[in-house]
Amino acid sequence: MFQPVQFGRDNQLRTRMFITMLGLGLLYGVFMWIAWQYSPMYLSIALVIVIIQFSLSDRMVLASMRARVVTAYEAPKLHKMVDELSMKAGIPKPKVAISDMSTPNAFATGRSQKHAAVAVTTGLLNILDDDELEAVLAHEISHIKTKDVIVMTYASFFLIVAATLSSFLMFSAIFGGMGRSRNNNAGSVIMIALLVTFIVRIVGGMLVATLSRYREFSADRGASALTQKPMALASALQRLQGSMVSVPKQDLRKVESMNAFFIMSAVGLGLAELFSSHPSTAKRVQRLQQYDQQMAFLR
Amino acid sequence: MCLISFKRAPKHSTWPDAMAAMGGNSERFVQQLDTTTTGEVAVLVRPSPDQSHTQTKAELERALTGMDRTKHHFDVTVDEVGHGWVILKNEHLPELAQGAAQMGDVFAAAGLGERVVAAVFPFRWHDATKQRDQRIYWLYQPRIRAFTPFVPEGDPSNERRDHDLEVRMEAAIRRELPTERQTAEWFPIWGMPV
Repeated sequence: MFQPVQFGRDNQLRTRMFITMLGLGLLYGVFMWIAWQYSPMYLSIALVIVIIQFSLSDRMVLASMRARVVTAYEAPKLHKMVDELSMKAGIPKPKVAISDMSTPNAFATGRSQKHAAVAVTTGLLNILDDDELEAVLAHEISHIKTKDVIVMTYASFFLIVAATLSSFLMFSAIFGGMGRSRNNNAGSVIMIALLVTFIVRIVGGMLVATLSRYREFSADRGASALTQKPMALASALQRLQGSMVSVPKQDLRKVESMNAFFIMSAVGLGLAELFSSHPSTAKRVQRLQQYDQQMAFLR
Repeated sequence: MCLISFKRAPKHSTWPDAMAAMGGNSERFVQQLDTTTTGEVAVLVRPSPDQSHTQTKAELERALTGMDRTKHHFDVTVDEVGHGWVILKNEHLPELAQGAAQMGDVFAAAGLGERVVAAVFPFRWHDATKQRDQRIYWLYQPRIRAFTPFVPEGDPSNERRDHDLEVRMEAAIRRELPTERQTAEWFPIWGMPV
């Protein structure tokens, strides 16, 4: 009988994801409680608006990326790869779309495995070879398999609620106090409420980004399991990043002669990385190299 | 007995330690990685300012009187940008590495230590998918005290390199050899005499 490829467990990654999700749950729980205490009406309106936005956005993703669903006749190679990979992953075959953009990129969408689609840009098709393209598709298919679109939608849901609430609050801080509350307290209450939504957005944003980075690592891992070619994905990632730039072209002999002026660039964990939804290419490549080594043992 | 070895090469190594690590891994290079030494190692030395090609060559020859000529065969050449190359020949990688280690000592004793740019270990690797022999290099750079991979592709005047292969090389040997992981340090040397 046919067995879908098992992705294997990365317990450390799972633990980290769990802790991040727990943190998000706690943060959102406290936030909802405070918001409810403050103003059930504001909260309800914000919730309704965001729910409507979300149910529409699902259908709008493909359109906003100018992606067009293509048939197997139009893109036979792409369809064949998606066919094989989704079968290996044990999920229904997603729709295949091509987005007419010169920026190389790929994405997966859909609120469930049945409604999923994978899309690639024409820029991506132009610069990757077959192995690399397969690896990128495998990455997107493992996002679908592990229901990442849904997880990330839920994870960022309350973040958008907080953003909507804070714009309400800004509005009422400017025009507020009309008729209803004329006491001196109203101003400071609004300031505290604004502060709470602000904190939720910062901390929540960081946690959502962290979770997203973990899910990227996990999709890289899934792709490696599906294709058995982690280095193909590594090479695709580097090509996308244009990492040829980070490999020096200058001859070592010339470098050495200006050694005295050589200043090491300070590299550290920047603030940008905390809010970034994807891990750095260097980190992803490093992990993929590890998977390649592990697989070499099994070959 | 562990199934998987957890040992890890130190990230940075001094010249003698790095040469010892290279020599100590000759078996691995041949058996696991399918790479064989070309029977050469080159030590690259920068000229001091305003030095002519013949002066550089003479200076290196003078310093190398400290080397045991009966044990090691080597030639000194100067390239078009004025850098000196001491090319040592031996069929066995451990002896090449040992010779390079000794050469480091000799240059340090002659006060040229600061000017040693790299030790270059060329290897042959048969690329089964492209059906051809590929020359690959491991460069030890004293500046960063680590080895970096380098694979030129095609004509050196085109200055193209096979970065995918370099990444694989680094991943395959990083547990055994002190390698630099920052690709920004993987400087090429175009048109080497080895």
